Amino acid sequence: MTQIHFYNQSSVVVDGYKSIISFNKQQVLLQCKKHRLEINGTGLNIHSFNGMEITIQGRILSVAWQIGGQES
Amino acid sequence: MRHSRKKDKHFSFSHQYYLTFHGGDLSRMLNLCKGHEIQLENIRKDDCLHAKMDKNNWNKLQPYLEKCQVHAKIEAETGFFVLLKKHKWIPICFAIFVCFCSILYYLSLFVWNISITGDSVYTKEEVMTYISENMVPIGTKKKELDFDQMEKNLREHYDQIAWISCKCEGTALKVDFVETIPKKVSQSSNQPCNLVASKDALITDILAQNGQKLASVGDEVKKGDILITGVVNIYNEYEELIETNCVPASGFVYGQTKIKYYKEIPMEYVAKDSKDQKKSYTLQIGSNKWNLLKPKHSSKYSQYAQTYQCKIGNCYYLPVYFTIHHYQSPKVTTKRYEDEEIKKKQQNILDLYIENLQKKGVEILENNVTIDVKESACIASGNLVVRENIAVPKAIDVIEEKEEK
Repeated sequence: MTQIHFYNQSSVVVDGYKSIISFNKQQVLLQCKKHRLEINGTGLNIHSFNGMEITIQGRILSVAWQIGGQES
Repeated sequence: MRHSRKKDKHFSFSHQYYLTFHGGDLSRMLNLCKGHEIQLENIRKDDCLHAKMDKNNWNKLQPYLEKCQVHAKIEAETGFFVLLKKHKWIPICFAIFVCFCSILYYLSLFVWNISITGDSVYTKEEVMTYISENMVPIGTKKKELDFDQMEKNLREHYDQIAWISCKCEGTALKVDFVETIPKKVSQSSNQPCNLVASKDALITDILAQNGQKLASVGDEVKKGDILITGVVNIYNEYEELIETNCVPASGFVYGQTKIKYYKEIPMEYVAKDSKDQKKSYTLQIGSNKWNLLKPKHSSKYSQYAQTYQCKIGNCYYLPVYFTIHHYQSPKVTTKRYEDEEIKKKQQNILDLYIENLQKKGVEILENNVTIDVKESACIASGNLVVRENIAVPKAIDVIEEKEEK
């Protein structure tokens, strides 16, 4: 099960992600168990990551699931 | 990590790399890192990918960089060893500090100073020389000290020590001792004796504690006259002598006496004017000495030296000595005292003399000493009229006395 934790608007921790699909300052795209998770914002960076969780910092504007190639 | 929002730009003890990755498949590299538990921190992306990682992770990452065709460049390194590598003076200073501490520790295992307190009969130098020559030479290991034995030896050697304590403080051996109160020579012994006059005097007070008074207040006595006799005659009711006892006479006899005083000081004196002064220094570490700035022809000069021992705090003495040698070439000139100056000097000597008499229990009744300044000398002369104890014991030959009676 994928868990997403927010810390204000500046940090998101995704627990149970599978891989990083793409990453730039405006968007981080993660592959979770079933769907893709899209994190949008400005000045994004990966603060840390390991096998289980990833911490993304920056100005978070939105977090959305992409189901079947479409946003939910 | 979840709650940490601080950026690790500050100094870290562990070895950290600040890296830039470019080219190849960066996302694949990140996923490989995830899969192989290689930790990267502070990952941000602009033209290339920036990240921070420690040395272990950097070593683990090497094979995957090639696999993803990613080029990595070390932008900066932090950590203790990097700091040491960058600032070479730090390890040197650290090594010097460690050496210094080690030397201090090593030196603290020995005795480098002996201090004595409580001297009056025995001088510091005397006791210190005895201890350093016979018991604890300077540089003895502290753990070899046997304080009980030391105290015992000192008590045996110096019989007037009543109480002694030896202890080690820092690198100094501290010896505190209290001397016994000197025994007063008692006038009253068990042997039969008379009290006789020690000098010509006019008796002012007489008190016989034991024996019979032969003199009374107002009598003028000569030196050797019996004042209190130890021969006591016992009479019966018909005033017939029935027994003669010889006892040790005791008591106090104060008499008024005159002390002649004469002191002559020449008006001229030899003065040394030492304008030509030089100094030299000696540094001594252990038994090694180095002379610094020793003047030429030093044998022509009279000299004295002051030695200082290095110490940290009050009792951490070190075997490092600094000696200052003072060289003086005095010019000898003959000078003459001023009248007032010589009178003052004579008066001071007289005052000191009177003070010493008073310490001995002599009471000054009249001071008839006059100070005259003459051409060649200043003369203080006259009499001091004093009141003092004039009785001294003199043994009685018992058989002779009995025969006489």
